Parts: sequence; C-alpha cells; structure tokens
Amino acid sequence: MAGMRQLLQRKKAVANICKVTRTMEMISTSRYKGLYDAWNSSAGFYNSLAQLAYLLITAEAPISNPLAEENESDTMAVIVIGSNRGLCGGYNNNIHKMLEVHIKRAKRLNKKLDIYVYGRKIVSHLKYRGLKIAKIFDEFEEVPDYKQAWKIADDFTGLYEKGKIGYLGIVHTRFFSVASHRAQTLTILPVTELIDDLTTRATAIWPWENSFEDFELTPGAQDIFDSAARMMIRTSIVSCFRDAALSENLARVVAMKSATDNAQKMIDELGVEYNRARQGQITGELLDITGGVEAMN
Amino acid sequence: MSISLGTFRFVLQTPSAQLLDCRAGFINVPAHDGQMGILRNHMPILCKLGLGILQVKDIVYEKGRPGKDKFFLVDGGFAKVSENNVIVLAYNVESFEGMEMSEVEAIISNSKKLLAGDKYAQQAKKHDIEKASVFIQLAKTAGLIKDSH
Repeated sequence: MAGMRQLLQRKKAVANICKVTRTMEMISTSRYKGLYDAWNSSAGFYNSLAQLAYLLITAEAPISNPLAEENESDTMAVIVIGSNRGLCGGYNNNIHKMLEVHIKRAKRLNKKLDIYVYGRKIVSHLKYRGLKIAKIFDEFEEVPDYKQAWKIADDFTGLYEKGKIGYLGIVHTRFFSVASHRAQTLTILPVTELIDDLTTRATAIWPWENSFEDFELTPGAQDIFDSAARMMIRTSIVSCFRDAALSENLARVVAMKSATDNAQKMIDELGVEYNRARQGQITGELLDITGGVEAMN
Repeated sequence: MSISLGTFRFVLQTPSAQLLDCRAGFINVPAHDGQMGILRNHMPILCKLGLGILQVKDIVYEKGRPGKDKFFLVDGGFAKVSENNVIVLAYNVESFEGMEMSEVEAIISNSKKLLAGDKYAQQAKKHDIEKASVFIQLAKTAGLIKDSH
C-alpha cells in the first residue's frame, strides 16, 4: 500500500489533470455552441439550394455540363479533414479508416490518388505511413471563409474541367445531430452525386410546386446549371469543414467530460484511501500512547 | 408613395445565416444583367445574380407589423420566384444596418481610396473596385451619404 505522502502527491496530480480536462471541456463546449448555431442557421440555405438542384435535375430536356459528366482521368482526389489537436476520442481514427477505403479503391481501379489534407493529426499519420500528400490546407483555422472556400472549389473544378482529376470526394465527419456524427465521404465531383446528396438530405422539397419548365430562366439553362453547380460545390466545401469542426469539438467535449468524470472518481477514491491511511496512522499512534500509559501503570 | 399591389414572402439566405424572412411589397434584385424589380404575382423565374444592391420595400412582419425598407449589397447567387415566394440565395451579403456611423464612414473611406487607386491596382483588384463602388451606391441609397459626398 502506498504511503500517505505518495497518495497525497497522486491526488494532487490527478486534480491538476482534472482541472486541465475540465478547462478543455469548457473551451470545446463554447466553440461547439458557436459552430452549432452557424450549422443550425445554415440549414435553410441548404434546403433552398436542394430545391434549386431538384428543379435542375428534373428538367425534361437534360442539361449537359462538364462538371456533371464523368471523365477519363486516371487520378482521383480526396480532401481529408481531420483535427489539429488530439484528445478527441476516436475522431481521427474514423477518418483514417475512411481514407483507407479510398486508398484501396484507387488501387483496385488502378488509379492514382491525390490526398489533400487539413489537420496536423492526419498529416502526421500519412507521413508515418509514408503516403504522399498533394497539399496541406493550413491557411485557415477550422472553417475557411467564403473566399478561401471559393478558391479551393475553383481550383478543383478547374482540374476536373481540364481532365486532370476524375473524382473529388471530401472525407470528413458529418454532423447529423448532437447524438449522431460519423465519418463519411461526400462526393463533390461529378456534381450529379452532390446533387443526389443535397436532395436526399434536404428536409423540405416540394415536388408539387412549379416544374422546371414553368420557370423563365435568365440567363439560359446551361448557364444557370453551371452557376448553380459551382454554388453547390463552393458551399458544400464550407459545409464539410463546418461539420468536421462541429463534430471534432463535440467529440472533444464528450472525451473531456468522460476524462473529467474519471479523474473526479479517482480523486474521490484516492481521498478515501488517504483518509483510511491517515486514520490507520492515528489509530496506531493512539494505541502506542495507550500501550505506553498502561505499561507505566 | 407605395406602389404595392399586395405582398409576397421574401427570404434572404446565405450559407452562414438566414438574414431576412418577411412579407414585402416590392423588391429590386441585382440580376446578372441589371436590376430586376419584383412585385406580387410575378411569373416564376430563376435568375442568376451579380454584384449590386438588393432593395426590399414595403416590408410587413408577422401580425401586420410594418418594417423599414432594407438595402443589402449582394455579391452573386440566385433568385427564385415562384407562387409569390421569393428566395434569394447569396454567397455574401453585406449591409450597413446595425453598424455604428464610424464603421460606415470607415468602409466608405476605404471604398473611395480603392476607387482612387492607380490603374495597376484597379486592374489587379477589379472585383474589389466594383464592390467598393456598390458600397458607395448602397450608402447613398440607404440615405447615409448625400450624392455630392
């Protein structure tokens, strides 16, 4: 059994860890709340965008666009969004597993896989595995602003239009609700898959409203489709980064809460053990005194 | 003087927030090829937006509460008009509403500096220059500066 001094030291060390985890929990909770509000208030925009996408894909005469058609490129690209910091449970592990699926898929299809990364934890994992990184996004923290997202989107659409990549997916942790968030790949290009995703996840689509043919279009259908596709790509990139940041902070809140609870439990147990040892010492000293007194009598 | 023939629902959304959801009597959207006015019973239209000023007039909130006219700077997006529902989806929307006068003056001053810049800078920042010009127009339309300012 550890001595009283060791018990006290251990209790102090655990109390310090508890303070750190509690602080991290509070910081993550505050970040999570800000991101959750942004996620919540953007839901209407994505529903309206889904309505627009629904109209475009239900046109009687299909609209052709290079972003919606598959190309023959032998390169696939994935953007992997992980975290810059640890202590967020299995958040990064799930992303690694999802990335593994893409590596195997590219191998099976005999295609090259370009990996674009956000998050130091993913970077170190890929370096450890000896995988080549095409680009690291480090010019923003957690969520890019709209200009940065535009640039990312326009760079990839440019590559797709030139036939340099034939696929673009974003591996990220998607946030569905407080109780549900999991690692997923959102296919961005070809854009038809993104439209499928937008229309199936939307909570409000009214197919009984006017059909595509009822609308006057300005400019023409091709231009509208092209601009709408670019809008979907640009805004989906922001949405993926926001979902990932939201899920990361939520994962950290849960992990830190559990760590704080465990540390608190350990402090309580060490307190009991310390008190027991202290009481044992006092009892021993009392017995010594009473024994000495009796011996003197 | 109001030119309203009745109101319609108007929603202004960006990827980060829903900025307005109200009934309006008239809106003027910056379409890709110029301003486009919309009144009640407008035909269904899908329109690409450019850079310009979005005006929302004769605003009526819930329970018939009237609101002040609103002016926004819109930089690209879409407007969808269908069955007296107008939805504007915009990438980026800016407004002077709720700003301190000092902030407004700083924006206008920056915009003027950009507009007065040398030709090379004007070429390099073409979109920013256009936006600066729209900012000044927005300030004039919202009555924050006079035409001669």
